[in-house]
Amino acid sequence: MWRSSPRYSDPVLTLTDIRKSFGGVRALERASLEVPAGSVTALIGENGAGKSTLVKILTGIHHPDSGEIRLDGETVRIADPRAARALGIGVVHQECQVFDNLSVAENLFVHSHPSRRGIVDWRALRQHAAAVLRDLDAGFDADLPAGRLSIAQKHVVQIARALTHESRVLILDEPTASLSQRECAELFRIVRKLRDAGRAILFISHKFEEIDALADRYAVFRDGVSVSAGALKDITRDELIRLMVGRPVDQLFPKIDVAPGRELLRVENLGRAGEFEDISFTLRRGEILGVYGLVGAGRTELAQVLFGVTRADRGAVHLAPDAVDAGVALVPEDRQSQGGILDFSLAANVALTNLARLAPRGWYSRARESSLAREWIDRLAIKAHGPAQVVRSLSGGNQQKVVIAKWLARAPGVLILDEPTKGIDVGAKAAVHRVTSEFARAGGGVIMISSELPEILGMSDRVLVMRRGRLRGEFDRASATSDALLRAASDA
Amino acid sequence: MRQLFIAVVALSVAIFAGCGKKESVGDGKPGHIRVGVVAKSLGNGFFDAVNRGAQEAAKELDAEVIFVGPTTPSAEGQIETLNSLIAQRVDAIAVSANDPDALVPTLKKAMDRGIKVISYDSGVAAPGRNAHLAPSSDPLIGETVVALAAELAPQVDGAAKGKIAVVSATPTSTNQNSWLAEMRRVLPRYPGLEMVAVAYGDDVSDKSYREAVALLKQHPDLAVLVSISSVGIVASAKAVEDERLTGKVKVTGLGLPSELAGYVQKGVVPKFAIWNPIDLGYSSLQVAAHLARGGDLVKPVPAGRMGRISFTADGVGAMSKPFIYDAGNVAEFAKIF
Amino acid sequence: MTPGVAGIFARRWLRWETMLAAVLVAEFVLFASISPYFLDVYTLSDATFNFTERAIVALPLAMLIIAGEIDISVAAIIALSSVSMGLTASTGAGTGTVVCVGLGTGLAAGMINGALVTIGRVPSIVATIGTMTLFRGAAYAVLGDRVLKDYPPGFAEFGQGYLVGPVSNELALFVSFALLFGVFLHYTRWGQAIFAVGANPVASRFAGLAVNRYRFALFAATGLFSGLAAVLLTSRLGSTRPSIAQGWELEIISMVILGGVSVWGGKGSILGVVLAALVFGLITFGLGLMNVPGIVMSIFTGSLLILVVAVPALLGRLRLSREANS
Repeated sequence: MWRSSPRYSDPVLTLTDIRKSFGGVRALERASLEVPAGSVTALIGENGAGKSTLVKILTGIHHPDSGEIRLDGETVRIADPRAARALGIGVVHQECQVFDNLSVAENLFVHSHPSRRGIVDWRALRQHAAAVLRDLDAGFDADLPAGRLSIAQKHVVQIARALTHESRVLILDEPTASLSQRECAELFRIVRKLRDAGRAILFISHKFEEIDALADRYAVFRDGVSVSAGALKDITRDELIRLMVGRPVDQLFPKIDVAPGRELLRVENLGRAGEFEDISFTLRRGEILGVYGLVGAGRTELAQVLFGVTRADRGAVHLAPDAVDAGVALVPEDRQSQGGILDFSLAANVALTNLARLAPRGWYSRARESSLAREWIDRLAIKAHGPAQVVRSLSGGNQQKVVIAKWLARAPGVLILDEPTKGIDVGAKAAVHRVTSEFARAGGGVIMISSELPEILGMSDRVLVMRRGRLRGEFDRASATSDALLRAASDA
Repeated sequence: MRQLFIAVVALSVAIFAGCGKKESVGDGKPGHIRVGVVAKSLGNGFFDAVNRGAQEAAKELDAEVIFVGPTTPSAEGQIETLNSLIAQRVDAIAVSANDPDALVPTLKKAMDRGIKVISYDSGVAAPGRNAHLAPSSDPLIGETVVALAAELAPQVDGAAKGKIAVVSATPTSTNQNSWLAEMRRVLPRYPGLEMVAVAYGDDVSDKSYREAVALLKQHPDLAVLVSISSVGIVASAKAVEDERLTGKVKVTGLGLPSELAGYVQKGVVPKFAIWNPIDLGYSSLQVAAHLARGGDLVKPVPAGRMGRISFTADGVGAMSKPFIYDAGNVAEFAKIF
Repeated sequence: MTPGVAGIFARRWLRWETMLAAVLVAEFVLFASISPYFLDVYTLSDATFNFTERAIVALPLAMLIIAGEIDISVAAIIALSSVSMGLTASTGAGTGTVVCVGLGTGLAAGMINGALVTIGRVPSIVATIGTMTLFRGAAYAVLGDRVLKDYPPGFAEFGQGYLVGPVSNELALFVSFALLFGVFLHYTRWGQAIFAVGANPVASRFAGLAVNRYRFALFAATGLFSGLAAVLLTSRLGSTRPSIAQGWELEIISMVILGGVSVWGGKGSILGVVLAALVFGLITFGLGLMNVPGIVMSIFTGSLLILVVAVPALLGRLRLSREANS
């Protein structure tokens, strides 16, 4: 079975010149990758570099437009997730894909119950599950309901599930995003065990200390292109970061320099249990304050407290007296469920934050609703058939513009943008950046949360870096370099 | 929007056109009458039997029975049913009420529109009806039950002789107490019978059972155990059977055929009494038709095969003595109620 | 997608009301041609009593369901209100006091529901199933098998009186509230906010709407109108028993759903609910005139409901698969 002796030299999985685009947006362009057996290959790149697309191609969710995938030297076609499993490609996702109501054993075989003529063979299932868990030194019982496990243990369940399909290739997609130090160590121990047993492992992570601890090879992706690959011992961390960022970022962003005005917002020792601690900063009129950090650093939680969806346990937020009426606006990260009402028309969405102004005496008029929407369709160049178009049918970038429009239409004092350009195309990105700059120039204050370094560097007057719920540094435009920010964010 | 507008216009036209044509509705022949017979709820064997009796009377009287009722035994549902009968301009309504008070406003409306209203089985408060036909009366029940006990007691020199005991419901139950009083009034007619005890089972099965067992133990020479509650009679029968006294102690009283059929076959309860729903339906229709045809309640109302039924000044009449059930007919009625 | 997406939505929901209106006309024509008693002003006026009380509760409940919540306890609130009115009346209170107590009890019960859902964060179906048992249980506990019927003389006017000619007070109240609610839901910003809250409560919260305040107010309104229904029903029956309005919750919810209100929230109209109330009321009355047994009637209305809920869902899926194929 999977204990066969490793042959380090042969790459088990080879991808050559993979191309993939979505509706004209290129996600992967000449992407190549080798994942040899018996080693851990770290896949490194910024958000949007094409890592997720690659994982989705390897697991059969997306199909490449062109290029070749070879497994053990043979060209394969991965039609769907079932085919990926059949080929021996297993994946552990960032979000736990474990069924809480099923037992661990049932979780392991959820895709393929051992059965005779359609009747599940529960005895065989339990025995097999127990054996796999023993091999992994898992330390928990196969009969336990999965809901009782910790997140790290759930990751182990996912790994074990991958192993039940006799996976030769195991993909770990940011598995440590929500794990504690000890849980990470436990996970890594199991991954090393698998590596030593000859598996080919592809490890995706933003955290350099983890990459150092676990990987022996690296592959860097940037803008959908594989830019470099080799052995980790032959490269320094600084070189890796340069390879990752690697482009003149400044010109892409239409940052308008504004002399910051009076203080607009002051945050003092703000904290919320389990989310963030001891956050203090100020924001001035005309200023764009970037907030950088990894996923799970507490940035979104901070934004929600500032906006008022959740309450702080400690500390205070002071808004300048002349900005209290205008208030704070938040363009949330998850625009599908939090940002807009997808089944409503564009006009109704824009109107939602402006109900009191559109209907001062309560009488709501479709005519006023649509004229407001038309104004913002023009100002943000939203590509829509008209104010009545349902938001669900707009492209991601245009949906995001609608969400931004509904807040700009209200003329807030402080605009918080949480990952404003995540998953939207380059044109829409530029438009979002342009209106953000214009908003600041008109005297508004912007807090822009982003995990994209170029965006942070290109747009911010100042950058705050958060890590594990705390501020880890504040950089002005001169001192904010990608290197410095990455180090502060990953505690390098 | 235009479609909607057209639909609304069409609807209005339909209403006005319809209301415009004043149609004369109702009876073709002068003698023919229609009577709405309203059940507490449909799908209930008791009321199906009432309907059978009503249909039988309808044939004799050149009347038509409209048998209706709500799906669930609720006053609200019965009101909807009554409203549709009123709209059909029936000549009379006979109703067994789910709520004696809630039906009154609707029934008053019916009477205002010239419909004669009687209640049967379960009465309606006096302002909501012309007459109420009770299946029986307290004196008739007392007489029947005591007569049954006398019939089942050992016969010495052509007269009944022995001890009887009664299992009642609660000591405060109005019905039970007036029936008991009537029994005591009738008892002297049978000098050989002696009522030795009255026990109260509260209409609860296990308490009634325990009281019955206690009676059997205290009075080993008991001849007849009488229960005038449907819960008590079943419990008494079970007690007699469990104490292996079947044949020695007879059980009788008021009960339901469906619950007692088994005990009748075994001989534990040789005979018992309760009103007959077929007769009740038959009599109700007789009374309703009598009123609809302009009759009054001053003299006893002729009710076909049931003889004549007298009504008191406040419009309450009793149909007859309770009907006697025994091995010969209990199986048939057990299917009904 | 195609340019007509918004149009398809608008047309589809407009068509819903048109369809109900067509069903209504069909019922009218059918019953008028079958039963000689149907087309009579006073008969039709009597027929309205079959549904006005329930329809009055259906109006605020429709808004509550549009806002993504539900209240199963409406019928129990009616019972509780009726019992408290009966108790008040038995102390010799006047009509005004009795009515105020009825409305007040309804409002209080609705506020309890609202508090459970907004402050207690209990899902509304769970909360109101609980309060349904609680309110009905309280009514039974207080009254047992007793009946309260000592209502003051003027009280009967509410449920039995007529405004002008054949127009009953109940009907007049229903029509006025239907207009009021229709205007409120469809032509004010608060109505617009109710749709938003139902379509996506999270996004509504992120748009700065006081989502819980809307929910609370709607539960309170549903309670208040259940109290009003209790006044009318009690006045019409002239008496109170704890079993009053038993099973009405399902009939009221059925009206709302037949009216085209989406059980997922965010969609629906007052016009639809009004039409549905008329369709329901007429069908039970019309079938009653034909002396169709209630059991057959329930089969009829049940099938109508399934048809009405299933057909749009099937059509929607059909359209989706057609789009996927093209």
